[in-house]
Parts: sequence; C-alpha cells; structure tokens
Amino acid sequence: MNCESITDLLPDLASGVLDDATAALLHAHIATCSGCAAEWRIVQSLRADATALPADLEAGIVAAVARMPAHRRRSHVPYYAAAAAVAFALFGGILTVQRLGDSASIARSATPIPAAGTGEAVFPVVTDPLVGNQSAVSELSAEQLEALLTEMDS
Amino acid sequence: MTTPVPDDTALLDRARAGDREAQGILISRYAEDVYRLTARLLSDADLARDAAQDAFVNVLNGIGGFRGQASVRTWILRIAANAATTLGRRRTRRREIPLDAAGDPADAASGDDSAAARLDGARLERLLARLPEKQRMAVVLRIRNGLSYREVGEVIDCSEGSARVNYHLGIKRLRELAES
Repeated sequence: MNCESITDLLPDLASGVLDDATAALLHAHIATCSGCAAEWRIVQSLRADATALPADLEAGIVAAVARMPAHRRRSHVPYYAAAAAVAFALFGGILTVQRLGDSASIARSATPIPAAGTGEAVFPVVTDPLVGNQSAVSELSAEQLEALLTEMDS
Repeated sequence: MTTPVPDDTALLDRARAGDREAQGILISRYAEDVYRLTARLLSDADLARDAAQDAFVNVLNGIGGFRGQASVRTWILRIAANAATTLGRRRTRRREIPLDAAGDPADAASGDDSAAARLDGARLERLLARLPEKQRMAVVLRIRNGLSYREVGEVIDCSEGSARVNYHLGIKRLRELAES
C-alpha cells in the first residue's frame, strides 16, 4: 500500500473497523514511514477518549426539550403545508388570470426534463473528479489543496 | 421476548407526532455522538453541553422538515455542528475550561508507549481550534465521529470530494502546527 491509500484509511484504523489483514498492512507501513507515522499519532490523539461525558448529559438534554412549549414538540408541518398549498393555489390562480394573455409561461417546473423521444426523465449529472480519484488528494500540497477547494466551491 | 429496537426513520415519525418516548430514545441514541462533536468544536465543557441541548431542541423544532435527503445521524450532527458554531460565535472572552489537561493518567501510570507517543490532549485542542471551520469539522467528524467522507460532506454541506480535501488540509495543517 502507498501513502495515499494509507492516510485515507487511518481514521478507520483508529476506529477499529478494518479487517485484521488490512490493519496489519497499515501498521507495517506506518512502522517504516515517518510521514504516515506522524499523521497516525495525530489521528490516535484525536480519537483518544479524552473527553469525559458529563454525567447529566442526557438528563440535561431531556430537560431542555421538556422546557419547549408543548405545541413545538410536535411538528406542525402538515398544517403549514396545507396553509401554504392553499396560499400558493390562490396566488398562482391570481397570477394565471393576470398573465393569461402573456404567451410566456410563468410556470417554473422543478421536475426533470423529459428526454426527447423516450419520455424518461433526465437529471443533470454532476461528476466530482475527486470522488473517482481517491488516491490523488492526499499527495497534494496544502497550496494545491487550497486551490482545488476554491475551484470546487466556485 | 425482547422489544424490537425502532430504526431511525420509525423513531423520527413517532417523535414528529410528539411521542415523548421516541424523543427520549432519539436523545439517548445520539447524545454522545452530538456531545463528542460539540466538545471538539468548542473546547469548553459547559458550552459543549449547551450546544448539545440546543442541537436536540433544534432537531425537534425542525423534525417536520426532514425529508430523508441524508441519514438521520448526519442530519442531527449537522444541526449539532450549526449549534456549536452559533455558540462559538456568541462566546465572549472567557477562560476555556480544558476538557483534558494531561491525557489519561492510566496510560502514564502503565507506561503505555503508544499513549506517550500521542500529542498532549490540551495542546491538540488548541491546535484544532486554529483550523478553519470546515477543516476542523471535517477532521473531527472523520476521526472522532467516524463518518465517511460522503457523510462528512452531508454535515458540512459540501461534496464528498470537498469533504476529503477539507480533511486532508486540516490534517496537514495540524501536523505542521504540531511539528513547529
């Protein structure tokens, strides 16, 4: 295994979810690679259970939830959705009457565009080059990663 | 005969309808996960506990809007991350209460070599606090909460690829800071 594959799996190694053979391969590599060993120390340190759970954690959360007004502990989305649907229908009806003479459609469909000829819906597909190229990321420098992130977020 | 454990979707449906037992199970199931995240993001035990409480209040407030676009776990953690961010921004200058000042005493006493090789917990908390928000969250969620990159992306609202980049940037930066 190379460093690129190793660094991606270190959190899984720390979680103990890897099979024995893979874990052994990782440990063997870490023993001979100072870079991966340094990163392994950081991952282990972050993973270590240094944060004690407050004894009253759950009780405090339950108490906070209990302080919520009763009606807010139940979802009112069905009622809001119904009200919104009525309002939308009224608004949409008013707009339709006003724009009947306008040849431009005011409808903005949120549904996918049927592909010509087949009638089947076609969703735009966005491919993320990094998802299909897992091993490349960890070998990039910080500057290259920053630039990549800026490009992906733009 | 044992009572079957309800899955998350069934729990949400019941909690949405005001079922107090379901809400309690949801809290019990995710309280630790939420607190681990808020504690690592805030480095303050009291604030982390407040953020965890706020998170579950917000979960129940927003439960009607959950459409299954993400897993229940990542949805709850996203709300928790937002709660921690909100409290972190409101935080006035105050002395931070270290969550762990000197690591696990048991490790030191037993002469555990692996523990001695790790970074000091308090120092690591300080270094973590210096990372940009998304990088810090990506590192904590991947390592401390054990999320996949896709799940990390769902929590911090970015693609799986961006989540991986944020994670590696954060780890690189932590390593630089630790070695400097």
